[in-house]
Amino acid sequence: MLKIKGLTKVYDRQKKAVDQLSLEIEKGEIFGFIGPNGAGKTTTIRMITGILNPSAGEITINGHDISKEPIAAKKSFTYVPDHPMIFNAIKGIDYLNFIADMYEVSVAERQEKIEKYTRDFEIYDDLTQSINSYSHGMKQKLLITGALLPEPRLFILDEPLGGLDPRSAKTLKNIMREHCRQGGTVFFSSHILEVVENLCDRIGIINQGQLITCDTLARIKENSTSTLEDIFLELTEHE
Amino acid sequence: MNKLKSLTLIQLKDFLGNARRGLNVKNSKLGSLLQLLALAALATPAINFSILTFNSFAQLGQPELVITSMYVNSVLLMFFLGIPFIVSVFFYSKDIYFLSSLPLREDTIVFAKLSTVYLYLLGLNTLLVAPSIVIYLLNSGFRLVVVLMGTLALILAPLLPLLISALLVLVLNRFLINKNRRNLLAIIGNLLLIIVIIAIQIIITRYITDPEYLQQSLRSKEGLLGFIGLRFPPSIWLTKMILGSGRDTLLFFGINIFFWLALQSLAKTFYRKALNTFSQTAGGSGQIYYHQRSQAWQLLKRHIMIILKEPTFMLNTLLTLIVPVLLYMVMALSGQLSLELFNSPEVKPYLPLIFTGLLTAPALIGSTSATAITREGQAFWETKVLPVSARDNLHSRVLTTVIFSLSGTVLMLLISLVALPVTFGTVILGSVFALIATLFFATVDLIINIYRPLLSWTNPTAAVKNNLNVTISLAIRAVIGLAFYLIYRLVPGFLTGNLELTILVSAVVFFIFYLVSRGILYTSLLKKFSEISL
Repeated sequence: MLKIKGLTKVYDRQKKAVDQLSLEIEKGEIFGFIGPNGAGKTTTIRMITGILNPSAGEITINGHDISKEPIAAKKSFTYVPDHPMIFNAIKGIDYLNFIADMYEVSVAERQEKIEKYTRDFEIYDDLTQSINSYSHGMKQKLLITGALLPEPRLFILDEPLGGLDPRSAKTLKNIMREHCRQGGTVFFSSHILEVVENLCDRIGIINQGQLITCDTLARIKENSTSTLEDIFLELTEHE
Repeated sequence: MNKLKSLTLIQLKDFLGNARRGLNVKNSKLGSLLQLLALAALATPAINFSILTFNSFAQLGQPELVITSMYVNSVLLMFFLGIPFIVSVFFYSKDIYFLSSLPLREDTIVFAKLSTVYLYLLGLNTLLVAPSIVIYLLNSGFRLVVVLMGTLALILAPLLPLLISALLVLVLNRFLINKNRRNLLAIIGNLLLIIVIIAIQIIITRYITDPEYLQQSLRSKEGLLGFIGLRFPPSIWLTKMILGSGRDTLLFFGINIFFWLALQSLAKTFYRKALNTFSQTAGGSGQIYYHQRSQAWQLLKRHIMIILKEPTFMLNTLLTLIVPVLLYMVMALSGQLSLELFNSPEVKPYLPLIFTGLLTAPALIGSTSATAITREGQAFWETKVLPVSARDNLHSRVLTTVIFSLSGTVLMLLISLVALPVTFGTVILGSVFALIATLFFATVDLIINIYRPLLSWTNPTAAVKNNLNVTISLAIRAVIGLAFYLIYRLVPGFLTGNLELTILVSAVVFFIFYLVSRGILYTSLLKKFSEISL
């Protein structure tokens, strides 16, 4: 579903934010992307989603190269950023209809999904309010709802649990599992190792722009009795 | 460091940093130079007017009144400019929550925040009043007391309008609790400011073109002198203070201290109310709906809403629509434009040109496309991740500008049809020219914004006003204007022969320009647009 080959991002011709990153994520997988602050997680995600152009490397989503066939590639995924910076002078329902139209979601389908997800996230009654008045968590829930409307093949989330209350975090985790059961793929970054440990089929750890390990949790833990936290701390320790 | 001093310094640094960032110039020396050039451009008319007014007052034997009259002009501008600025730093500022959590007294926060407004007004006041003091000094003989007291007066002068504006905003607080009303007030305040600026500009123009009119105004009982002396005594106190009068110095200090204390005593209420106002959230209204629309429609709606929902953007765009109308109305009301004038044998032959110019004015004044990308700010990523082609993305931005600009053109068309005796052929020709010019400028301005996207801004004003893109956009118009002037000088018959043919040829030239700019935008610049990142 997602193939990344030799992905590199250099800022100001000096700082390598991402360095020769390669990985493949199969259909139906939940992939957890973890790393310390400033390791290159968000930069990688921004390149995958087309927000940022890579300095080198290839990104293929559902068989489409994001730089050569951006529209086809973008039809295959939706994205929820770490900071819900959206045009927020409109109402929640305006935003959802906007997203639905962008992905050509039918009226019946959008109605069913908007009602389902916004009720699950307990923001249904707030949909006629301006997004300006939403809390960080409410904006996050609105973005997640929007991202779920087109039933994306690949669901990309950057630190999705940050602003969510425990009930909504649980709802999102269930949605992610259900999405993969139905053949979808989830790629998400997180700092909450416990969630990554419990939710993901495979984990990638990035440090100083390089993917230092990428495997199932069982294989990463092979020959070790340590927790993911210990392994993470050990692997990402600076020399 | 004293808390007030420390907080004031950080507010000022933030203010100046934003102003510098708004220019989006990497070279700091070039940034400073541009700021100085902008100041010089603003100071030039003030210097001219000060010289003119000084000469008139000198003839009446009261040359010092040049300072009084310039101070009155300055107070008017500072008052109208101060209100929206104060509303902005208190009711739209995102640091108000953070500051409320610090161990600071309310009056410390209020005065530190007002310091940025003060700095802004000080700059404006210095531009307007300093030339009058210098001209007075140069012509009336150098006196140290005038230099010292003049400097002190310049520093003190913004306080009074600032404090009065702040108190007025406090009174209006209840009204401002509703965010829509807050936006409305910001828009009305700015429009009033524009009207004041236009009115002052027209009066100045009239004084310059008709010096006798100034003399008459000054001599009349209800004229400027009467207004200055009787209706705004601080202006007389300030003038006499500069000339060394101890009594008037005390009076001027006294009135400033009075308003300062009044504001200090109300600062706690002021700040608390601002905090409450900021925390207000509008209740939901309307119904949940599910309508399907095309991508193109949604993108267009998004860009229109970005303008309409943000008061600064809306005002900026509105001005392009109504400034030509306001200008026309103020000139008509002041007697400078009349139907007789347009029917006069000297003006009538030029009606097709005047008509076409009026219809094209919104496209010439407005630079909406020059900030079409910038306006989205940190929300720019939204359309980047959506399955929308770069071409459609850009097209919706051009179309948004065209819609706003042509709305202004239609408004001008309606007014012009009433005021100008033009033929049907001229109407069609003028409209076609305005349409082509609108398309061309909307496209060229977007090209500027692609090269200078400036997505990181902390307040909307920085996105559309303190922005070099707009200056570049206006410079392009100036270059085109210069080209037309050169053609006029070099080509016999241009602007004197068949004007309709001239407009037609110009429309064809603009259409070719439009096709070229459109070609550049939708081919080589698509990649550049795709490369814009946060």
